[in-house]
Amino acid sequence: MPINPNQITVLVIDDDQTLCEMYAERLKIEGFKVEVAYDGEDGLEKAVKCTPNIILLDLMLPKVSGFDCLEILKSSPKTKNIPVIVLTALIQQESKQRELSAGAADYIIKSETMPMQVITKIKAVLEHQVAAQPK
Amino acid sequence: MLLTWSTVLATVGSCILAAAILIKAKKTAGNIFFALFSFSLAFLVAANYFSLNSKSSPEMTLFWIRLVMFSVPFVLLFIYGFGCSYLNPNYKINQNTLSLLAFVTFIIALMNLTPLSYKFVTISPTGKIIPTTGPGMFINGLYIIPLFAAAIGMMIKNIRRAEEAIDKKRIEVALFLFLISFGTQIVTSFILVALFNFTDLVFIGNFLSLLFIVTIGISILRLKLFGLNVISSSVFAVVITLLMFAEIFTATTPQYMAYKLIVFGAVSFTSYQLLRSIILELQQKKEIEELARDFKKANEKLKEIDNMKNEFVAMASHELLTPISAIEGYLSMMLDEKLVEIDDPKAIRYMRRVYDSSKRLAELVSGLLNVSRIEQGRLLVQPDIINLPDLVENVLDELKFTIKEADVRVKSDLSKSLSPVYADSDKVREVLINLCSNALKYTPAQGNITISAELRPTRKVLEQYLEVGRAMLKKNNPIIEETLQCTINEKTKCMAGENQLVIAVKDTGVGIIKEDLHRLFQKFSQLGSWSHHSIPGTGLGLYISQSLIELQHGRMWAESEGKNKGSTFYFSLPLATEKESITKINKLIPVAKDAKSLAKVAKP
Repeated sequence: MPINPNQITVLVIDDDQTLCEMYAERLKIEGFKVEVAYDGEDGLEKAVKCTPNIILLDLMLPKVSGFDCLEILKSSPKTKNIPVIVLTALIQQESKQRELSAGAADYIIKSETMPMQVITKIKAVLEHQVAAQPK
Repeated sequence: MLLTWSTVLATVGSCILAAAILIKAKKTAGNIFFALFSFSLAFLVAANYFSLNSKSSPEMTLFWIRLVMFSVPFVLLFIYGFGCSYLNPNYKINQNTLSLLAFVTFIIALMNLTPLSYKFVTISPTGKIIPTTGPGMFINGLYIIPLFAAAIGMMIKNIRRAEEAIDKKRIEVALFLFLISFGTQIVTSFILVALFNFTDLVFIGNFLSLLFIVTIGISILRLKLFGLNVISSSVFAVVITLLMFAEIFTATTPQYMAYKLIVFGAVSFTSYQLLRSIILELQQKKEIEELARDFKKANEKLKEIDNMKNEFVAMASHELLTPISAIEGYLSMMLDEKLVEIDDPKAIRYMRRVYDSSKRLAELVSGLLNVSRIEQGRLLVQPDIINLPDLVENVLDELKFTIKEADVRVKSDLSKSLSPVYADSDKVREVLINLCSNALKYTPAQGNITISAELRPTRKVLEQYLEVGRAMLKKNNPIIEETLQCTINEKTKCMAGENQLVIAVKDTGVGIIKEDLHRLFQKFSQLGSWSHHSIPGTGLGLYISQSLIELQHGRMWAESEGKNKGSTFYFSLPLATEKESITKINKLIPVAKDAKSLAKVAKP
């Protein structure tokens, strides 16, 4: 079942403001509601406060690292069911396996994935989540 | 006479040793305790000697025996202190324990001067000394034996605790010496005498003390026991020589004197030679130790620099790729998705150039990171049995848009029944993408690119590879040089098996002149002009590809008839049947703990 972006809130957590704004702008053009955070601590607060439908999480974050954020998100009852797509600048096989086994829904290499492809991925993850829910 | 000389040597030697340690050695608790032990041992040995040689007067014999017993508690106290502290970095002097032990030692020592230890001594008509113990003798037993056992126990503990092999050896030597010399003395001079009145073996103690001093002297030289060096051996040699000189004057006849002169001459010469060789050996050892220290320091510095470089490369790559992602992202939105209306074709053209340059920059950063990982042996290689035809099909599918744009016919001649290979599919995929991309770049429109594969004997593969690939090997048998290269360079892995699967990517492109063939695989090397695509390469692709193939026990080379005659790039891979032998070889080559996969960026 196709996702209606107008009903979806995406939380983008990345310490690079330019990238954050780029993803935010592209997502808004597509119709998504967007929240941004520039560090792990702020990201975790907003995840609880805004209860987004999906989170884009950078791995290299100040204050609380991306790895730690993922663990905290997946262990908290309020946020554990929010799918998380991990963002990174470089592909590292070991990190990918680690993040996916830690509960990340998918993995995006920033230097390899254009904004349109990010949207495609977000939609795919959300559709998969809806399909997986018991009727 | 022998007993006299042994006693003199043991007494003098012990005093010299103690003085040398106190003056020259480091003032550690272990060294100080040993020096005090040496002094007290000298006193004990001298008193023991006089007790055995005063048989004409039982009172004098009793006096000397009581003096022997007076020194024994002190000897034990210092042995215990030494056992606890020698080469034990965790040792801290417990003032209360030490004070208590010193007090008890002093009381028992004083008691031993009274009839409480030995009441009286009788000398039998045959000259045998028969001492009669007093009621306080059992206190000596309660003190001496447990304290000696505790000292031995502490030394054994310190042997186990010692981290350096040389320190273990030093404590072992000290333990052995104490057991042999003083342990035997406890039996012959105390237990047998006090419990059984058996004094026939008391003299052994003095010989064993001499053995103790001689062995300690040798250990000082070989193991740098107590940190002393040639000083003690020099003193020892001088003492022996002086004693031999003094012996000359005890000769009763001219012949005997001549004999002793000869002995003195021989001993002097030997002592001199011994000292000379010891001094030379020590000098050489010192030089070697200094070199080893310098080498270790330099090595540590290099490791530090290497780590800093690794961290810098990783951080720089991440930091560079992040803004590049933003540049590519915005340009993609403008040029690919056309989310912004741009009327000016010049603006579109300029932005297109910026977009292409940012992609090239991303490739360059990624390439540099991979080069860094390869050169430092930090690239993770995970081989498995792979089916090449399927892999080639996937690669061609990935490049289909580029192939269409280039208007070049690309064909795969790989049979489905091709022998499988044992390699890392990700790495082989990268190599194929690189070779095909290059072929597309350098082949004009309407040209052809063919991918084929065949089995070839390993020796033949090496010959072809060496003819082109390693121009620097000028010796007669380049295959032996290649083998040597494999054994000394862990990154160039040896080929395995009698046959290799050789994959060829042949194009009808611009070709390569013979002189340039070996330059192809150097870093940042780009030859000629490309016929397609405005995006030039980074100059790292072939260097990385060749390294990736070599890491998987393969070889890569190129052949070309010359300009405009096309070129063929070959690379070999080991067959799947060689899996076991390759696994064995790989186990011998250490992999860096932080080995990573290839860094990747989107290809144009």
